[in-house]
Amino acid sequence: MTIDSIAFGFFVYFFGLFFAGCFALFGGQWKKSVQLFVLVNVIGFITGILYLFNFAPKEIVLASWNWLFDFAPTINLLSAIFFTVISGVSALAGVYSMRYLELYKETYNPALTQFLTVVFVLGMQGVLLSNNGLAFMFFWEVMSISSFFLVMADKTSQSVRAAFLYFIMTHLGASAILGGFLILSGGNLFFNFADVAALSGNLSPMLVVLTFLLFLFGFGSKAGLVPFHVWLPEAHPQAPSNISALMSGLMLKVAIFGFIKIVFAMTNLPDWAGIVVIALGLLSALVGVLYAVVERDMKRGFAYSSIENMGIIFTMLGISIYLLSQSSDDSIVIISNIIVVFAIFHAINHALFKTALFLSSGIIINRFHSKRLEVMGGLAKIMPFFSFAFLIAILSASPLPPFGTFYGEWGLIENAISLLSSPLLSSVAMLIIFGSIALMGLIGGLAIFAMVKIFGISMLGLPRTAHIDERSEKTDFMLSVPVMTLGLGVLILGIFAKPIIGWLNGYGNILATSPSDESISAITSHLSSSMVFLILVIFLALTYALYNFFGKNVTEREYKTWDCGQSIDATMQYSATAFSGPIRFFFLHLLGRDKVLKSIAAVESNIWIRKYTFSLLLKSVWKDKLYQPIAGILNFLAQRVRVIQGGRIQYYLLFVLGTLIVTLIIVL
Amino acid sequence: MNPILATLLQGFFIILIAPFASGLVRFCKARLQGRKGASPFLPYYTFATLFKKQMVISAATSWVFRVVPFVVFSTSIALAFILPLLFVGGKLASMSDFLVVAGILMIGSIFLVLGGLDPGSAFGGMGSSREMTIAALVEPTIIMVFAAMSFVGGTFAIDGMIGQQLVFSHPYLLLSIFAFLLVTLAENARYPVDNPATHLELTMVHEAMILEYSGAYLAMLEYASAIKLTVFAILLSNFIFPATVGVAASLGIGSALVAGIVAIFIGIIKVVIAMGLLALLESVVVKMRFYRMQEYMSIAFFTAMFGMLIAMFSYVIEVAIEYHTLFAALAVFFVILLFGRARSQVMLRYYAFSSLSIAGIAFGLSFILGEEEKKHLWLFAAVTILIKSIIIPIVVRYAQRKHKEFISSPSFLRPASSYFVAVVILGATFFVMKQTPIIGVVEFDTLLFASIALVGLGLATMIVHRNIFSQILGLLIIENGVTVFTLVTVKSLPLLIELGVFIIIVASAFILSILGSRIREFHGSSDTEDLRNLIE
Repeated sequence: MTIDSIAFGFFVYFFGLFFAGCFALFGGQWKKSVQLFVLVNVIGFITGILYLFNFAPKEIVLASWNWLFDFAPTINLLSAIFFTVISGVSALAGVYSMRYLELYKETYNPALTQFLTVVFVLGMQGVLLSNNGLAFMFFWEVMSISSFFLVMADKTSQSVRAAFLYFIMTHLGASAILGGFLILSGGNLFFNFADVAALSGNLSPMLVVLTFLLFLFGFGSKAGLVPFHVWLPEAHPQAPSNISALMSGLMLKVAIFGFIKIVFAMTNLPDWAGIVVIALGLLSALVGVLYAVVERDMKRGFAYSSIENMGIIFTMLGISIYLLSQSSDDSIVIISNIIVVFAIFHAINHALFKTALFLSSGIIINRFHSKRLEVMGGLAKIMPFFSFAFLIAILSASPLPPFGTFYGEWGLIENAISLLSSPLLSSVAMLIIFGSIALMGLIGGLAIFAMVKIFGISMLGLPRTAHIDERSEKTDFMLSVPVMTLGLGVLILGIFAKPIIGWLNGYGNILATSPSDESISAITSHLSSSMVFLILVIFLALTYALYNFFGKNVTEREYKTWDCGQSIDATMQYSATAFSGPIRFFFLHLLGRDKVLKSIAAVESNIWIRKYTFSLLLKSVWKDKLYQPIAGILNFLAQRVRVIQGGRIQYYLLFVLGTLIVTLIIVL
Repeated sequence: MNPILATLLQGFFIILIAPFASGLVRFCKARLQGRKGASPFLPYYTFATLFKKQMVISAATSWVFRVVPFVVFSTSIALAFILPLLFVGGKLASMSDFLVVAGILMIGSIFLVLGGLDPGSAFGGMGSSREMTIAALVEPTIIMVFAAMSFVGGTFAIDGMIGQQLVFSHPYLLLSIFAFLLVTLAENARYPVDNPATHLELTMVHEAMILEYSGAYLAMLEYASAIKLTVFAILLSNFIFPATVGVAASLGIGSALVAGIVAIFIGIIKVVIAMGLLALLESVVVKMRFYRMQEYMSIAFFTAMFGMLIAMFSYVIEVAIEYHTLFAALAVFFVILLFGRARSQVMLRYYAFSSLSIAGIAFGLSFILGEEEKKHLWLFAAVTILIKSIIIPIVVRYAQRKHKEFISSPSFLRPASSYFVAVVILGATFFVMKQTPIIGVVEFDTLLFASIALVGLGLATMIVHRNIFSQILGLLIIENGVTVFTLVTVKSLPLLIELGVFIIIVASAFILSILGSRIREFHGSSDTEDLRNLIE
């Protein structure tokens, strides 16, 4: 296995994507394009795995195109991890889109959608491989613009509005990142990422703070950090489901990748930088999970769950940054590194399960022709295999053993507890870590609540609407198989969590580009992740055996649900609003809602017979109190500035001339 | 007793004794209610009969309905085998990591919730919604309880926590154990969270979810619930008395047999006592309304958090927690409880307990200081108990006697927010103390912290509560804080001054109560919101 074959694999990948895009755009043969897309992504996945096994963490420069803006795609440990994940997940999403685009031929233009998807994945992978600032920004913009068009793929006014909001936020973020790059490199966008540490050392403290804040805003707004998150619950639901899956599962990880790559390489961050990241991370996690619990639109619920998981990842990264700034003692550095490894492990798991969840939501919405949880129900009887796959996906989305998501939270809490007994931390640090442990417990519990609610209301019971599409499951098996694969992927990551995390941690710093001699292991617990899985399976098998032994003669008969003699129908079941009612009640001060209950007399002769109208509107307190005023101010300013657009061409020409003269005066 | 044998013995013992445990609770409750009660061995017959009956499965259910009993039962028996109940150091000991145990509990709850939703009835939905809320809100408390124990013990496995017998050397872990008791009641569907005996909508959580199950599936679900109850009961008693747990070391055949028999015998005793106490608790306590669960969960969480904070505090300032510190913490704790309550009788009772704890501080200090101090401190303690715990509540009740309806003094904050504000006041006190250089000048830092915290909390009581009588109570709490301050700085006062101070306290409490009562008569209400204007 030589470096050349790895480079060959990457070239095949990118050229394959290019051809897939061409198929979709020029020939209109979107089916061939999807097949090529899947094949190419499988090749990419294999290449990434081969790199990780043989060459990591050595940094390999794949090509060197000095004439094309100094672009030399390089692959190192961090990029390879995310590259492999993106390739694997895109391959499965491609399999899904073969059937999905066929089902939605009328709504989305399949060829155009497929072309934009290819460009989107190209952009994401390009960001991972870029070595200088310009290439990074170029591929970042490719990623953002293609996803902007994808969000408005169904051309309804709602999705156009959501796409517009997304466009504004993503460009604000991109300009922040661009600004950060310019400050860091002193105006030269062609700086190599290997020099970030040196460059940040040369900056004055004020500039370092400004750069850090710009990067936090840029990468945070893309990743969905509160309070920059408002676009996420609007844009992700409006996109086609396979695109929502790619956006939520993969694009957010690219933002995490950028944050780790750049902020962790900066050397003289202020002390409070870590605290800000931890605070924003915990806030995002709490806001995300609370809104996910009370949300009644399935895809919005999943979008808020993404915000929550990104919050958890940023909390872990923030703790790591804070530890590194507090002390450079070996024990603290080891714990800081392993927390970053757990964060990346959690990010990989999130990529898998969030994609699975959004792909499932596509199937469910296709059956019920609506995104609202209030009209769903009873799908488990119609689609048993899919409901089993969805159950695995939902369980993998909750922090439960033996799934991989559990180990991310496990790592955070157990390392935090070991940190508390370290004598090197100040009391402020201890209080912060203690607070994050307290909040993580609450967030984990509520996350499980949200996931169980979505599964229970959509799959179980009876359908709450008559417009359910009851065709057989076998026509859609290509939709269910990717979901099952992704869910099992999280399970496998969970079973092999200990070896994987041990291996990732063995390189010391995650940004290392050369193998280190000492392999430091910070895991002191004796928990074996594969044993956890084995134990659960053994006890399940034991239970089954006991049942078959004791219950040999058990018979059963079918009857309707117990109804006290008065027949019940599907609308009497608990709805999603009711299921999340207690949590809404307990956290009322943190959530905004409008509840209106009107009762008018229905019959004139008897005022006790009344007609009740009930409406419950969930408000986003961030949108109302933060974004609307800012949007209002911007609109006001824009109205004032409009005055100069009088309509006469002569004034415009004079204006351009004036600006040119002023610019020349400044520059010269 | 080699580890594999120990684990197997423990598991089978729990599985066999679980029905007896649940029958025993019912039997003890019946006897306490004056009935004869069914035999404690009845559940064995019940389960055997259920297996013979024909199951009725609703047509609205799917395959999830059938999977649920298996998963729930297997999580319960997994707990029975993994946790250190009869033996420490069993084969599966490394698996008893507290997060894994919490996760296994959660898997059981999740599948029970799904089983409640599947038949498509409103009852099942209600039970599932409530159960999921309780499970989600109990999770932070579980993590905080075990975080405190693993912080103190240095190990993440529950096996290790019990093996180290932490409670004796770290008395503040009793707070964590109290929080764990509240968690036990919530997880096992017992009073005051849920009533396992009725099938009324008002009181159902667990029963609502298993309503549609019958026959063999119902037997499995109820058996699983009984196993979980037994496991939690024995685990709780192991936390309180860790010395009674056997060690699963490799022994010869004879001694292994003896060890096994002793372990089983101790296990039976623990189950009997725990179930008896549970029956007593269920007969004394009232089931809480479900929408008051946030209070219950807040109390559990803040108790666990308090335990963890004290553990961190004692580690940072490297002070071994002695008796006087414990009593000081108790004094502050009772005042925090008082802070969230509304009924004046309850508030007076907590004030009495807090004063009792202050007497305990004096008592504890008397062990440390010299001879002549000892006499003064004992006298101080005795007089404190007499005056503050007994006479003052009598005096205040006497002044309120004219108004037979109970005086309720609502506050501006809801109970959960009051506890939160109290914790904020404690944190602010801690930061203020860290900034000012008083530390190191006086000997007993924790008592200083307690005294300033009491003054702060007394002030907050006066501000936050709306009733006149609570202003009096706030004043009394501030006076308590000043007393602790004098204990810290002067360590004991001359007798005459002490008696004088006490007489003044009694007199002022009496006069203020009479005044408050007169104001109430005159203006018709003791709510300060109504007393804002003068009457002609």
